[in-house]
Amino acid sequence: MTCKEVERLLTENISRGQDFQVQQHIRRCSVCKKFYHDLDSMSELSHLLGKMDKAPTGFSSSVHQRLAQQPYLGWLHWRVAPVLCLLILGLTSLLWIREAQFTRKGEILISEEMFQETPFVRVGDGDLQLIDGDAVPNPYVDVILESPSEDEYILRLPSRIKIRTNDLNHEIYLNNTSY
Amino acid sequence: MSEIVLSKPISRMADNTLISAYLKGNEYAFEVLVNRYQDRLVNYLNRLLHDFDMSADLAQEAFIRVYRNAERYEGRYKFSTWLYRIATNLAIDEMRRRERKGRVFFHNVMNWLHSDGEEYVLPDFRHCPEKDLDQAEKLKRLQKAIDSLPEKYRLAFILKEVQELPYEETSRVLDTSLGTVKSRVHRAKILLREKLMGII
Repeated sequence: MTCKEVERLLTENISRGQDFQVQQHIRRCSVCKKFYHDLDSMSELSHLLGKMDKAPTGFSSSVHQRLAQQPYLGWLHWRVAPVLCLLILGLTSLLWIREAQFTRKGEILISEEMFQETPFVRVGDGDLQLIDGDAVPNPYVDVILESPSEDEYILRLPSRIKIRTNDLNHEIYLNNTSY
Repeated sequence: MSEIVLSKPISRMADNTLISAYLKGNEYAFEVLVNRYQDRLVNYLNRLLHDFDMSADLAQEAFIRVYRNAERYEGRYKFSTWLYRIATNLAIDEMRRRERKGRVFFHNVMNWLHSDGEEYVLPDFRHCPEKDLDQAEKLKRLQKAIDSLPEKYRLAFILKEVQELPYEETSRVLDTSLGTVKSRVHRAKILLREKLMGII
């Protein structure tokens, strides 16, 4: 039996020090003998440490007092959580519906940054034309102009307008495909 | 012919029997469980927290949770495993809360002073002139050495060696494998022996 094996056995369970093979090893190995002695002392001290504190007097009655003072709401937690979830879901849906309604009134969100989108309208020297050919049903459209460098502002435009410009390369990009 | 039924007094009943009795409405069975484990639990928590009032408070909280959730106890493990697990979770929460609030204890202070990641090594007592320290002093130094252990070793050592739970129960309380617990206890003992060389 090697020192490492003895060390492993003794740390796992100090009573293994009484095993015949371990005893034989300890008799001829002073290092393991010292190790056994140290662990044995540590084990005794640890045992004493486990007996050092006692619960204060009246511990049990304090438990009952606390039980009486704190109403148990455990079952409520399970009911409050789904109700809260439903409320949040309802509020979110309501906001989404309102947003959708507002958009349908004739609002077009335009961003200068959204180059990946298909141009919604092309601003040329002439009427405002939808690319896909659909006419805007409302008498006007609200065009929200967004720019990273400037504050957002809204232009209320008639659904059919004439734009006069010297630069024929401007394009307006639709940022709200739900329209 | 009359039949004689011998029944154990309730105070000697096994934990699982007491829990069953409590679930059937016997409040006294719960009382017996509290009396049976209150000292061990307060001691266990105080070994971890070093605040007797807080330990008593958390031990009471553990029993309150047992009282209110007794129907969830499955009986697959020992009652003491469940109780120690509740207490361990409460203690860990408290330790985390203290860390967040900056309430420091001996080992935290030492960890801060040695914040380069090296493990704190207790002062070398080998040169101490008092070779024969009295037992109270030895216990104090053992406690300090335990406090300086990393949390995972500390918990495993206290449960296995101080509370004297079997390895299997310790592994269930800590929700880890048997091999891991054995390895942690082994490592804890080696570290403690190094720290306490010349004292024990």
